Formats: sequence, C-alpha cells, structure tokens
Amino acid sequence: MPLLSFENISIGYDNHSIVENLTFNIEKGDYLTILGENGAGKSTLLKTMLGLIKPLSGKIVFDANVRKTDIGYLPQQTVVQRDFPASVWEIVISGCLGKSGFRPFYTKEEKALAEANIKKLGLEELKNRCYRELSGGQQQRVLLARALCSSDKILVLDEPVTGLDPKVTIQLYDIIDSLNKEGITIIMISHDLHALKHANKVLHLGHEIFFGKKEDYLKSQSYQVFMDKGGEQ
Amino acid sequence: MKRKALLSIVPFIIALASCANGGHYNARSNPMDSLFASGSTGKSVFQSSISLNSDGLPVYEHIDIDLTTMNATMVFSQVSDMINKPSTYTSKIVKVKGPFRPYESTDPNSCYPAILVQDATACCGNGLEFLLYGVPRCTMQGGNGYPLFNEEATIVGRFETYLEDYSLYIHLVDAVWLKD
Amino acid sequence: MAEFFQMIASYFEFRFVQYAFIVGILIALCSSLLGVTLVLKRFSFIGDGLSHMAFGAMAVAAVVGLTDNMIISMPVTIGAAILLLRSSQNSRIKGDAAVAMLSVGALAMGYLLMNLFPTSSNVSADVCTTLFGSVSILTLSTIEVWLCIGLSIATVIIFVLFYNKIFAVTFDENFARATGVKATLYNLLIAIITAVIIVLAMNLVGSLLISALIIFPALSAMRVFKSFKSVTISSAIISVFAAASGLLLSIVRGTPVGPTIVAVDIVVFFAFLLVGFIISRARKA
Repeated sequence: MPLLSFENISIGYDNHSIVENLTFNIEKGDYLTILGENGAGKSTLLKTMLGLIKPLSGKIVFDANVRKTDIGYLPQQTVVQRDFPASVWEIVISGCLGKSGFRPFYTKEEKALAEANIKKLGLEELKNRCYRELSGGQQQRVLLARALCSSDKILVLDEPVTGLDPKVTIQLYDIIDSLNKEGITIIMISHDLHALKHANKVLHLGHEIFFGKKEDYLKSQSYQVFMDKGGEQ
Repeated sequence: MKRKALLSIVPFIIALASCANGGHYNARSNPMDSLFASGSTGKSVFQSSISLNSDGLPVYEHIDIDLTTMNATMVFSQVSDMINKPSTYTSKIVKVKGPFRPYESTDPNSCYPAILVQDATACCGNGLEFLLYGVPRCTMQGGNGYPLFNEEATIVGRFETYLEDYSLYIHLVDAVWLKD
Repeated sequence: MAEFFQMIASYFEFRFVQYAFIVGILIALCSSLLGVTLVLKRFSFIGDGLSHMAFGAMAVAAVVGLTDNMIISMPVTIGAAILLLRSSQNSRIKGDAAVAMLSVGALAMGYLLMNLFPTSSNVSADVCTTLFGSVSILTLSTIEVWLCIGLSIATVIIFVLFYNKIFAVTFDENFARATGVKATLYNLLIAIITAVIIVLAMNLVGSLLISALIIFPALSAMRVFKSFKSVTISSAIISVFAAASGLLLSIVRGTPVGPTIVAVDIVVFFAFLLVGFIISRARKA
C-alpha cells in the first residue's frame, strides 16, 4: 500500500479549481519533486496535502501507519519571521508541539529529540543564537530541524532553496538527500531544475500533467517545454 | 430623580471629554426610603459636639484629611474614594481648597454650595458639597456669607452623608470658610 | 531625598494608593505578555479598536444603570476581539476596515449615548478617566479591585500554560496547523486574552493609550533581547517597572496616571533602542 495516494483530486480556492482529477501515489522512501510554473497549483497541492485547505473533490488516502500530523513541513519564509525574536532552540523544539495536545510544557524526550535534530543539521553552535540574525542557509536548516521534530516519516518542502546562493543550495540539497537515504519520504516543490538531481519521481503541474519516474520525465514533452522556458536557470 | 448640573463649564482642553455635565457626586447606593432632605439649611443637627470660637464659628484643631496639601491626582482620587466608600469617611474632618462652584438641581431656586475638585488632566471634575455653619442657603452667584462664584476658597468641615430622592450624597457639614 | 521617601511612605498609607499599585502592577504584567505576539502578528492597532468597543459598551452599561460596567464591557470586547481576529485572517484589508469601522463607530455611539441619557451617578467622571486614564486606577471600587486581581492572575496562568502554543502560532501558523496544533483554538484564546487585558488596562491608562501599554514594552525588549522567552520576560519587567514608577511619579508630582506611565514606557524604549544600537555596533566591530 502506498504511503499517500491522491485519488481523483481537484484542488483550488473558493470553488475555482487549478488542477483537476489528479491521481498519483507516493511510496515509502520516495523523493518526489513537484515542478511547474507559478500559478500551476504547486503550493495549493501542498497545502491540500497538509490539510490546510480542503480538496474541491476527490480524497487523499494515508497509509494505516501514517497520521495526518506525521508530515513534517518546511514552509516558505513569512514576513513575520524576518524580524521575529526567537532562538534556534525555541524554533526547533516547537516542531514537537503538534503531538503534545494540551500538555503545556515539553517533555524530556521532546528535548532530546530537538537536541538530536540540532546536532544532525550541524546547528549546535547556533543553538542559542537569534533566528533573524542567521544567514538564509542557516535559517533553512533550522526550519528543517523543526520539521524533523514533527515527523521522521514524510517531509514536505516548499521551495527550500529560494534566495540561497548556489553553494548553499547544493549543501541543502545534499542534506535533504541524506535524510531521504535514512528512509524519510521527501516531497519537494521547486522551480529549480537542480532539484531533480536526487529525485526518483517527478510531478509536473501545468498545461500537461506528468507524473512518473525521473528517467521518464527527462525524456518527456513537459521537460522539454520547461527547459525551453528556462525554469529558474 | 434630582439632577444636579454643574452650571459652570470648565474650559475643556479636549472636546471628547464627557465631563461637561460632570461633578455629580452620587454615591452608588441602593435606593432606600427617603429620609428628610437636608442640604438646604445651614444648620446641622449635630451641633452639640462642636466647639465654637469667640466669633461663634466651629474650631477644628485636628484635620483628618487635608486635601490642600495634596496634588491634583491625589485630591481627585481621594474625593472619588469618598464617593465610592462614604461610610469609611463619616465624621472625619476634611479640609479642601478650590474654586467655589455651586450646583443647582432641576429646581431653579435650589443651590448646593460646592468646591470643584479636578483631576490632573483637568477633564474631570467632582464637586465636594459643603454647608457653612450658621450661614443661610447660598445662591448660584455666591456671596451672602458664601464665596463668590469661582472664587478660590478653603473650607473645613465634617464629612457626612445624606439621602435625597433615594440617592446617597456626601457633604461637609458645620463647615467654616477659612479666609486667611 | 529622605523627605521624598517620607512623602511616598505617607501616600502609601492611603488604601486606594495601595490598591492602585497592586492592581496597576498586575495589569501591566498582563498587558505586556501578549504584546510580543500582537506586534509580530501585525495586530498592534487591535488594542485601539477593542478599547473603543469597550468604551462604547461601558457607555451602554452606564446608561442602563449598571454600577459595575465590566459586566457588559468584558463580553462585548471579547466578542469584538474574536470577530476582528477572525476577519483579518481571511483578508487583510477587510480586517483593517472592520477594526476602524467598529472602533470609531463604538466611540461615537458611546459618547452620544452618554450625552443623550446622562445618568445621575458618577458616570461622567468614569467615562472621562476611561478615555484618558487620568486617575481611574486610583478610584476603583472594592469589587473592581478584586475583579482586576482575579482576572490578571487568571490571564498570567493561562499565558504560562499555553506559552509554547502561543509561540508556535505566532511564529508560523501554517506549520503549527499542518503539524496538528489546534491553531484556530489558540488564535481564539489569544483574542480572548487580548480582550480581557484591554478591558483591564482601560483602568490603568485609559482607552486612548492602551496600545502604548501593550506595545512599548514588547518593542523595547525586542531591541535588545533575541529569544522569545527573554523578550517576553523582559517586556514584562519593563512594563511592571514603567507602571510602578509612572504611578509613583503621578502620585508624587500630581500628573495624570495613564500618560505618565506611557511617558516612562517611551523613555525606556529609547534607552533600549540605544543599548540595542551599541550592542550591534560592538558586534560588528
């Protein structure tokens, strides 16, 4: 049984649909890159997957072992966060809150988990630093550590390399790849073709919808058109 | 219900201030049976306990609450506390200084002598009513033993409450106008 | 100097001065807690909007003859807070317009009502100090004192219990929601606490100055401190300090209470601005 299956799903806002009758599956351990131009419905699909908005029709079926809250999420940065006074530690451990219900304070296990994820992403020295003073790449690693606190099964990333310089971009992709090799399922939105490097599956939204293996995508019409338009290159 | 309106209009700095008809000093009490209305004669029924000087005026050697030494914030707060919790101040000797601003009720012939007490923003005013010992009722212009309208006066008297038209009011009785 | 302290000591013999300090400090503590969240959520002006609503409600309470107007103003303000925070979630502009419409409307209607139906009690003074925060804190009735103390303590306890959740929905509402935090519920909680704080704070600084009481300590703390916890704690300390020293100054110097407290807040803000500037310069050098 697939980890996540999208069955005949139509997405959009206020009954205005952007993508219709989409059907595809995500298996455990997949690295799926979602490509497409602006307005093609990438973010809307992501928000539907996360339960932030409801699908217009169709449904998303989760594997019996996966709960909706088992999805870790790396959102795009918001304006609020840019001048937000918060330490790295505070942000990372807040990833544990989704499962804490009404319990007011963090448990020892949650603190250990946050500690481990900080270490995993090489943030030990930045632990008490202020988030807004970090570089773009460091900030993304902080948010990635937070996402790992909320789930070690599925990670959803919304354009994680936006605004990062090429060197840092490659570093971040390598980190994501190593997480995938540990067994975490990756679902990533991008309009950067580098994002394809580690992926094993591609969903291309647009005029023509493509879903399938990366190898097949590279031969497809959608890829050719996307390349001609230049992607983000 | 009797409405005592502050006849004078304090020059308000900010038009929003709603204290234009301020200065009512009705303690928030439950309606009770009306006793007799006082407030219009100059004689108190508690005369026996006061000592008089050679001029036949009451002498107050000890002053419990001296509003003349307090600043605007404290004076206004103190008078508000007297209005809020009148029972705690009964029989206390109070000294107050300020412009003489008598009130009138809906009856045009009425006159309630009072000293105006303002807060620090000068937007709110409370009146502290008093009855001079041995002086007949006042007029809205003042004079005849009372200060003239708006004249700065220092008054000492004994704090008492009285009921009128189902409402509890406060005033200083057996009051003396200190002219030095 | 000794004379000065003697003077303060003599003022503290007054029961209403003691009450004012206890209640004032508690209200200042409460109002600073949510300041950080409201500033970061771009709700700085919600204090103004809600306090005007509370004023309108208070005017209605006074006209119908309720001696304790918090009975009406509290639920009305809570309702307005929920409405405003919800509408601004859907669309930015609509929320802004809604705040302006409700608040100015309530202010006008409240003032009109007071003038059309003047009651014979102490209402006008109540309304006046409600707007300008002149001396309200010093003229509280015993019931109001206990109500303020009770509500302040409840607010602090709720804030501490839900502190981590409030942080999460402030920092990243979408992430919190996606990972299973009941963000709608906590936004509702923030709205209710905000409303309670505003009705309480009207007693301390008056409804026209409430935004200052909520925002200044948070902004000051954010100049210097870097983590959410340290910002929250230091803004609480700043707020309590400003309230206590402002209250003391206004009693000793005879200045209006609300504006004096806000003036202290402003001085502290510029001090922290300077300190923050020096720290960042030192770091760069």
